[in-house]
Amino acid sequence: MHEQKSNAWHLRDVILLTLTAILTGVIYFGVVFLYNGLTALLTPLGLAPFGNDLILGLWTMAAPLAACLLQKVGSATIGEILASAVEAILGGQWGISTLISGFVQGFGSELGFTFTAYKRYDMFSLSLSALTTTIVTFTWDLFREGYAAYHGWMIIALFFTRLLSIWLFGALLVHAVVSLLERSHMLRAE
Amino acid sequence: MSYIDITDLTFSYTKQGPLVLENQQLSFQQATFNVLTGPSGSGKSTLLRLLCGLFPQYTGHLQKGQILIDGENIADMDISKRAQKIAMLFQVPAEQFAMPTPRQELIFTLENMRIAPEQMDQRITQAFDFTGISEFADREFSSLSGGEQQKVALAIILALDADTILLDEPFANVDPEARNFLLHRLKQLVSNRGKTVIIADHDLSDYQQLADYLYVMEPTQKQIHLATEAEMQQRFLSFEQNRHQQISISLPDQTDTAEFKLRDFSTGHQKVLLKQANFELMKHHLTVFTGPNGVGKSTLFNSLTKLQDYQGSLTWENNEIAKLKVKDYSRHVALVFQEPISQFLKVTVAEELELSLHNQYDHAWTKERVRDTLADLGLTGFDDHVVYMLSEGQKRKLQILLMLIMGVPTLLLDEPLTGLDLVSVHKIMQLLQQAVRNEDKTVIMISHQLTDVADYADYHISLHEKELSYEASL
Amino acid sequence: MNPTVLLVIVLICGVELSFTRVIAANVLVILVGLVIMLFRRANWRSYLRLFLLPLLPALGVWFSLAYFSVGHDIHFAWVLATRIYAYSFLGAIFTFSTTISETLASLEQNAHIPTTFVYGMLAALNFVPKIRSEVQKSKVSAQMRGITLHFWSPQLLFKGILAALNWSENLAEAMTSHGFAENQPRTHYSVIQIPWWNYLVSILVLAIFQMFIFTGLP
Repeated sequence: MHEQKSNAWHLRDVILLTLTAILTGVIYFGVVFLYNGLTALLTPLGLAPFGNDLILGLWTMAAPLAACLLQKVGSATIGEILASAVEAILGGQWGISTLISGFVQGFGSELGFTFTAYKRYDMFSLSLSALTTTIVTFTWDLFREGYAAYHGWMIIALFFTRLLSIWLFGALLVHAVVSLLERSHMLRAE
Repeated sequence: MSYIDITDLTFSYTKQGPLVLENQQLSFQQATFNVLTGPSGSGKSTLLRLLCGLFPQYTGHLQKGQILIDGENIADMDISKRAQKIAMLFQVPAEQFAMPTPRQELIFTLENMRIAPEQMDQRITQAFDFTGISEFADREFSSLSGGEQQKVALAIILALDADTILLDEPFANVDPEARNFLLHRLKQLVSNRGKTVIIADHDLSDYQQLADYLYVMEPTQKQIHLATEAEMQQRFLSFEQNRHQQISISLPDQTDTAEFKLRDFSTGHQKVLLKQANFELMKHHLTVFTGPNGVGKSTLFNSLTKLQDYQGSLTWENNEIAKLKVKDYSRHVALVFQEPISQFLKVTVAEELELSLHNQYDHAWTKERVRDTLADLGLTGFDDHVVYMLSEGQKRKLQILLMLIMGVPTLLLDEPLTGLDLVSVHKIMQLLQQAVRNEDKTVIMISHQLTDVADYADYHISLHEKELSYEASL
Repeated sequence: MNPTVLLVIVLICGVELSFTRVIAANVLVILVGLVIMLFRRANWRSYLRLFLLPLLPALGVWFSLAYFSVGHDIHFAWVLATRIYAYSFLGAIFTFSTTISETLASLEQNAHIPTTFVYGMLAALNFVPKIRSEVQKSKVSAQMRGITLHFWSPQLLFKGILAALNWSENLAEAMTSHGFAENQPRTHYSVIQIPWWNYLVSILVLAIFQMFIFTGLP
């Protein structure tokens, strides 16, 4: 469907991805309150990490979206790093540490497109990317969030919660948005 | 040889797509003031972008031909050299700056030109003084008006010291005072500093004394030609004559009921644009709303539809608008946006129509009625077309139809006639008039075009010096 | 401190914190952050924000580790709770020491990040208010057609990206017209350098930090 695109990064691409990152930030700003409410509810039960994993898909959307918009090698990684830089600059909750997690998330998402040789940007690739994002970020959080210390059942439950969230937002929603864009012929196709 | 020479230029947006310019030959002389005119969307800005090398760098395909400036091919110049030869002032004021403030934008530009830092301050001061923007040099762009932003854009071009200055419909969001100021500064640059100015504008007013040459875009022929002296005078003259002949129009009386009331009201995006002690907008009439560019007409509409904050009181049916919920209020009052695409939610024409038909409030529109109206508007056979790919005029007609089908009692329209041909203007006005007469709707529309509108209007309000008033003529 | 040098230190410490189980190291970062904020005369709101924002996540992780970790590891619960505060203060150390434009300028001049990225980002950041009103406009516009858009509605992102495509084109053209060429050399109105003592301080800071991590502190 698409010709292979050049992998050079142009000014317009960087602006587009940064704007998209700000856009997702603006749209999902309200969700942070939802997250806080959910965490508050789950905290006394000791289940707060589920709140985190349930909405993690929102923070990892920038990568698959960037991959589909630009279809370049590295666009998922760079897209997510840009998004986390935007988040850090606009006063996200975690400041500098978002840069680190941005890289990890972007790298995780990138793998899904690498495994399909940067040739497919369909539901299959997006789902694969959701899976690799989950595996990579979960491995990272075994250390960072101390998930490794939990009982086996909790680790497994957290993993699948996260997979579900990342698939819903990073694959299903992104696919819906990209289909709209493609049908409207507004992506620079030729 | 002329200063700028265009030979055999053929350009299209897509490889196999329709040509915008075909075998264009054209030249511009140094130190002249040139006006480029033609219908909007006809390719004026395409030519300007080709002249400064932005096309085909960013978009489109140069099938053949070349552009020489001062004997040098534009395609062979590097970007910073190009910018010093030929620079552009863009149509949307706020979308041409990379930095937060005018001073930072100027520094950014000079750094791009690899100017030595110690020379920068002097250049900046000169550019600011000439364009009169020193007082807001360190304010954020988001707090500046359209006119102020275009002054900054001119300052940047001066700091670049570009020989040729291109302006692409630069006054669309600029108030008359700033427009006048900018036009005279440009004339000075031509006569005192030997700059070449090429300005694309569909509005020819005030150019008769300024222009040395007039160029006319003929979209059907895909050609631009240089008007002869006689044609030029004739075009300026007919533009003045075609200006609207006013007819008298009635004023509201006691029998009218007010729908919207303004009390000690003020609003404005960057600064106060509208300040009104007392005013009322009437129900069940077709009201035309006029006023110069950039004075706050759209801002008032945005306040009326909860898209812009306001001070004081603004009520709809005696309910304070700020306190109404969008979800309920939008069933009663809706806006036809200035940009047609803001109205669209789906992808194809059929999907958009289906959505409005499905969600309409009073079920006054049947499939048959829609089909007949589509035929009337010349929109038959476009069902599977992508709305974003329609021509500007088609988008506009579809947009208005979609909102008429919704059947909301009060419709505010922000320049609904822009880019429409005369036949379409009358069709749209008839539809709006029918909605008012037969279905008891309220229609308030902002319009610059008056000639063919006056016959349909019930009332005329104008915005002048931050105040609204009813006028007895239109 | 030079922003690039500071950024590198902060990032190294951040990664290291993710893999250690030393409460003392977390507390050290928090204390350094507080000292810098005092020195920079931060207002009381900043302190309040930095105390309150991480509170919920910190409590959340503390409770869940206390309840559900193997062996109800309370020490680890404290490590994680203080780590969340340490992350926040790492951010504060950075933001109270420098500004965004200084950082980007330093990343351009010292770290030699491609100018396309530096200025592309900077340009896009000016559009925050416009993007906000565009999202608002999409919601209101949909409501006028009888549709309520939620955060999960694809149309919201779709309309936003359409606007972003248009803006990115306009901005890139304007920047090119203002002489910006991708990754070409530029001059600099204010030149940012890395003073020699920055290196000394970095080595010292990182060395002290390693001592906290690797000398068996709790």
